[in-house]
Amino acid sequence: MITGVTLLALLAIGAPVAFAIALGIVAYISTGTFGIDLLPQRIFAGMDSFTILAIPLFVLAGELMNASGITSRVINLANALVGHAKAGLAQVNIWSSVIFAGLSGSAVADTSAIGRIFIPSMEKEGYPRDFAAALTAASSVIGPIIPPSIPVIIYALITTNVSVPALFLAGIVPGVLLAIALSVYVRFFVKNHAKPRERMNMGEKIKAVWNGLIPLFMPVFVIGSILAGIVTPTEAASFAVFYALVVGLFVFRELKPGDLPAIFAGAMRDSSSILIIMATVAAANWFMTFAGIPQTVSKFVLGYVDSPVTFLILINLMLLAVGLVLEGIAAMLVLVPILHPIAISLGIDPTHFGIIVIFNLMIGLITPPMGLCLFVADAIAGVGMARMIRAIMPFFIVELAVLLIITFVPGIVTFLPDLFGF
Amino acid sequence: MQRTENAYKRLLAGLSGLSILIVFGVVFAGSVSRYLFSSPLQWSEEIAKYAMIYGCMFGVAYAYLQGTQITFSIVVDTIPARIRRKLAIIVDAATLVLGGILAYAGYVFAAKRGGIVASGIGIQMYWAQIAITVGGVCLVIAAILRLASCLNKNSTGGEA
Repeated sequence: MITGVTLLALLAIGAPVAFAIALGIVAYISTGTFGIDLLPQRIFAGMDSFTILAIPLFVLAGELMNASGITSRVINLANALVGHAKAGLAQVNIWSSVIFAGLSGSAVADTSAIGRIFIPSMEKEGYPRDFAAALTAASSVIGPIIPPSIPVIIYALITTNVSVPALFLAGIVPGVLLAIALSVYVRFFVKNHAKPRERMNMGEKIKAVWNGLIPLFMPVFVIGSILAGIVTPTEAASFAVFYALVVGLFVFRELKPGDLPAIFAGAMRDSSSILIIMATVAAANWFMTFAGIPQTVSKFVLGYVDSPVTFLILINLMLLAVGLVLEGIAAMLVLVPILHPIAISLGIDPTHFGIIVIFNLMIGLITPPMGLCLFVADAIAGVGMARMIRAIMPFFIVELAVLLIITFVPGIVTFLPDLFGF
Repeated sequence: MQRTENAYKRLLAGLSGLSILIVFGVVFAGSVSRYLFSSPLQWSEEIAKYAMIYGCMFGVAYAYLQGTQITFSIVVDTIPARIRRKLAIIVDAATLVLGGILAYAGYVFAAKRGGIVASGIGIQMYWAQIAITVGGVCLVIAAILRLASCLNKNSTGGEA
């Protein structure tokens, strides 16, 4: 009781989630027979893993890539591929996010980097500013679904029977499907505000593709080497950092040695906000398991829900609601240790369930009042939250439709992992 | 007070950056050594893990001072600014308490269980486990600076 009150009160007054959880544990310890040293012991154990190192390293690789001037090259590549289509610049926006997904893996970084370029240029081509901002935020959600993805690594770490490579593969088709759905929506259902665009000539196209291949090699290498079993995700992340450094410093030459201290410090700071929640949630889970709470919840849920379909519908509703009020990774860390075993008990494929959870929580990035991508896009567009919310609604519905498809057609998610023998 | 806070932020930024540099350097060197020279570095995994734990501890205080920790802001966002400033003082006080508990409990933990020798690097685990105490102390200093800054601004009638 005192644990729950402490946790909720601290969360409500705006304390960092990790601090609220840690102080909730302190409240629990103070009423029981455990020693206070159990808290640091469990926090330390929660971080004492080689696989977790992949998180700060992928964050660092993404930050380095963002600072290396890849944004314009990614946009040029997407422009060469889809810029000639109807609503061309809107299509380029969507497919730039797909390419960016393999490089940064962060939806917020994607919104910020791509939004700065697309929102003004789409407006210049005749699109309404709020539409451009909403599309940028909506397409950024693809980032954490397509590998390499930090939420995927975290999911694999907090569950026992899902591997990082399997989840990486499982995210590819849903991510691309989401991009196709957004493209189709923009192509057929949006009034074409845009002025006609000039087509790129063949020489420009070849140059754009060539320049785009350099950053694209990174995700191809990372995913390829992990799938081939040559490297672990952590080792692949270190190669990604090395590659991003070489590309930024010596190939594109847009990264200056003087930029590196701030990039390294920022990457560790941002990673630590995730790592400390992981560690405190791992500690909380230890205490909850000791108290038999996950088993009790599981028994309770399984007493009422015996069909995987019903469970998945309930999970989608619950996660969408949670995504409205809690940051995606924090929500995942808190809920997955309880929900994942129930899904397994009901015979749901663990990889399929993992992607459903990640997809749901990433939609939370564009839903008010906590949608981070919505805030970032509005900070660039400056159209006000009310207009942003109105503009994001059609994209939210498109994303919801894709979520329902991947929920009820598991083959879309499990096809690639099955093909590669995971 | 602001100058002290800025200097402390720079220190935490430097230590955080150094930690992730060590993590990257060691993991990359270990991977290269394993794949190119077929000679794995026995110590690399442990050094990288413990550098990350230290980095996380510095980074937590740094993120807290920068206001980039993940929070649940839906309730506080609806509250008037004056009350929000008062709640921020309670959050800072709670952070001070948490930092103190982590510093003390981390020391008890390292003292109790730190005698084991890490197999790869051959040092006592105490030196890795004491990172939690270091993190607690960093958080205490950060919370004191934030509280002092809030109280200072409140007493001079400025914005907190």
